[in-house]
Amino acid sequence: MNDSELETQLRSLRPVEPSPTLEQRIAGELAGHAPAPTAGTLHREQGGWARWMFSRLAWAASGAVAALVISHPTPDRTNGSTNNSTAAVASGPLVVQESSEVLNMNNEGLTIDAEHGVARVVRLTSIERRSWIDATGAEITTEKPREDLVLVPVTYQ
Amino acid sequence: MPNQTEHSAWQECYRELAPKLLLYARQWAPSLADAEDVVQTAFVRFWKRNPSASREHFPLLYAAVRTAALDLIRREERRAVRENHPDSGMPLEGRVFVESQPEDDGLAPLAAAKLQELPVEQREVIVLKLWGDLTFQQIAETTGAPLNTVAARYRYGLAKLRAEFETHQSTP
Repeated sequence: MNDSELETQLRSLRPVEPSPTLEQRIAGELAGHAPAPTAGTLHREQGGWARWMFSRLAWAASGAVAALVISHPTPDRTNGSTNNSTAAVASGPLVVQESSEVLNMNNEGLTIDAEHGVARVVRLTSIERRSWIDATGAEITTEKPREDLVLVPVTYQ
Repeated sequence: MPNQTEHSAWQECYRELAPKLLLYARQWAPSLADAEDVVQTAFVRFWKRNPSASREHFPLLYAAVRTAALDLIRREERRAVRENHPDSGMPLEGRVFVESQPEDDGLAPLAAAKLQELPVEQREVIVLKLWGDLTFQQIAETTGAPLNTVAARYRYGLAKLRAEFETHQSTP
């Protein structure tokens, strides 16, 4: 068997066809609303302590957002007018909404931190949204994905 | 938003290249599902960046698949280290690269097995040359390897396959 014969034989083999859904997934994504690839994604089960911490972090995040909204200086206050938001936005886009949403929380195991000793690593996945409005009424919203690693000190009883 | 012409162009490209791109992606991806995800990522990325791409641009899709596949490997390796399983790597399931034709006398399983045993650099070049129909120059551009290196990898890989096939044929 020479190289040419071998090449001919190998070329006669047909690559395996992709699944029928692949084209649909690509079509959907090219149209702008596709399901994300799913293989290799692990969804870890949340433990009891994780649920406990998740609920408290969600409340803490809500509190932080509320504090931001309350403390944010509005243009109305800065120029002494009671109803001049149009004038305010005329000077530039105005932030009208900020929010943060915790999407997932994973227990990533234990680690030894030089400062705090043994600590549990928690990976928080969240998304921050911020909306602006300009003088014409046009609104733009940005979404910023965010990932935080939080070290939770472990105490022994 | 792609217009109708662009829509047809990507579909035509998909129907022609999808099995070949999937075969190429499987050189790295541990499963068929992972390989399809790699092809999806590369295909979408390519057509979003090049909505007016024509046939002469299609070889670039192999480079896009290669990048997406290597990204997948790096991601999995980082995840393995992060989860304190540095040796876990990517589990490889049984791979089916090619399908037999009725007249090929059972060559497909043998070819799949022997391709699997080749070093990935040689297997990659052989897949791109035989099933991707790329020239050595295009393969060099896709893999980032010098032209002579690509040709040598092909020659050595093919020689190994030929030796295996001849051994197989001479076995009663």
